[in-house]
Amino acid sequence: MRARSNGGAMSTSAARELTLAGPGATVVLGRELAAALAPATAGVLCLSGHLGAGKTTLVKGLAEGLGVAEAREVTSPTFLRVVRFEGSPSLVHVDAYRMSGPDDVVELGLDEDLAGGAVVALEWPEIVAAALPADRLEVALAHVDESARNVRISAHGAASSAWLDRLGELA
Amino acid sequence: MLVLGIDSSCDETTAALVRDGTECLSSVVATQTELHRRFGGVVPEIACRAHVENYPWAIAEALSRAGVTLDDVDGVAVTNRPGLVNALLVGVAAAKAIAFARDLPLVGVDHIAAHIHASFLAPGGAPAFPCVALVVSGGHTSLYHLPSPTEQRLLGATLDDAAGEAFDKVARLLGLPYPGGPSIESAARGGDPTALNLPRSRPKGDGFDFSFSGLKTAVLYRAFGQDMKPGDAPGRTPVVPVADVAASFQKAVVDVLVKRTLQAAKHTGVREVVIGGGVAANTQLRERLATKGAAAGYRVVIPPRELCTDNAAMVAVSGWFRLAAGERDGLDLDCHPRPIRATPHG
Ligand SMILES: Nc1ncnc2c1ncn2[C@@H]1O[C@H](COP(=O)(O)OP(=O)(O)OP(=O)(O)O)[C@@H](O)[C@H]1O
Ligand SMILES: [Mg+2]
Repeated sequence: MRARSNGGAMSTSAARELTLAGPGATVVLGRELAAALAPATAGVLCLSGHLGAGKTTLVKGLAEGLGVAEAREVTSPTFLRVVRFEGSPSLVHVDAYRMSGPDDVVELGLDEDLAGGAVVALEWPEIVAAALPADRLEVALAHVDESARNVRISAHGAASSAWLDRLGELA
Repeated sequence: MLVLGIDSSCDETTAALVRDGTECLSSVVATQTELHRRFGGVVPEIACRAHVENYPWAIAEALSRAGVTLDDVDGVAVTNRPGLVNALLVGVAAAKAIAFARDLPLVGVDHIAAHIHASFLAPGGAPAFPCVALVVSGGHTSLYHLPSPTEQRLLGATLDDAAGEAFDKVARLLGLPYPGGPSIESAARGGDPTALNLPRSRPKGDGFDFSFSGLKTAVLYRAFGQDMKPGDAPGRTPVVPVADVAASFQKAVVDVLVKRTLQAAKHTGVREVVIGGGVAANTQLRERLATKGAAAGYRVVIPPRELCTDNAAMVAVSGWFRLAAGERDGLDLDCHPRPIRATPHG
């Protein structure tokens, strides 16, 4: 996935890579990402990885950490495509699995959210890559085996780099 | 009272006429599945445009099949939640236009409640209350306790994937066509349902929640081997015959749905069990719930298959309860993406 140039200089801080031993660790990473967000009040989190990699699982922790929903209230958004959790900031949980391309992002009215209006957590980002902002945090989850996942987090853009740096300070 | 029902909450453009909530005169379902098969899912933009194109025909067809005209209609019921708002809006606009032009009462209906109310059109007769209802579809997997036809108390729901979603995703893993429900069901014929050792997950707590994401992931590992290296793409050929994977997966889903539903019936002390939603069209689920339910002493009410998948007859029934009680919605009726939130209780 490539970042689109929006005229500004791109900065990319070092990526972090870690192993998540069990679903609990995936939820904890979501909570930590929420804790590392402030002082920012918006951001775009692209969650890639195959079926069952743990994208939705991570958003359970993110929603809890942001204080917008309990983990049990975060279910797969595949059917609805977009689920909103109001708060400050609000969390918009998007799943592009059943979308056909970037136009659907506009059709679903997500441009404002992606432009800094909310925290957006997006599953299957590669399907709508062209509609994504240049500044975004990419969380790539991958199957290791049935009891563990590997995750690689990389930042594109200044705001996301700062978000990733704050995550590093938490650890 | 003759009610015109309209539902555009997802793929299908539907219209139906039902008398007094029990007699279905017509139910038109203009399917977009063919269109969407090419894309492997629902395309929102296309869904909305097709609804706009299909509605005048669907409503005229429903009236004509019922042998009535708009002069005979006493009220209009339309799904206004939950679903894709852009799609819901089309049906709601059509319903408002008719209600306004004909000066008819209009009521909004919850799509999930309507799936439960489809049971009023079951051949064996309407359910008696109180009862327990399982609504199981591509977007929902929820258990309710219904003290009366219009009160739904949520007992539990899926914490991750809906059962129908699991069917769709496993179908895609196996290279079977969309929608996954019917394609898994036919692929499973002749397969060995005990070939794969799959989990019957039961979420922690004493409620009646479901979880299917672990099952989805277990199918991936059992069917494709344990060597899912980072970056490995599913979509390779399974190491187990597809029929065995499909049969084992289907059995795992049906086992969990039947068991939890009967547990909920026992817990609430009801004598009747109702099922609705697209996955309720699955033959294994219908047969297993009917036999296991009967063996445990419950009367199990199962709507005909075509009233389990999305349709407007169930919406006309659901709306009839509100209309008969004198309830009305204004022409400012809104659409909502999510169901009415109810807190689960055990
Ligand atoms: N670190 C981990 N180690 C092992 N299992 C995990 C880990 N994280 C999550 N899981 C499990 O893997 C499954 C992930 O399912 P989930 O629905 O979250 O995946 P997803 O990436 O959102 O899939 P989809 O592509 O269908 O949206 C769940 O059963 C979860 O419990
Ligand atoms: Mg997911």
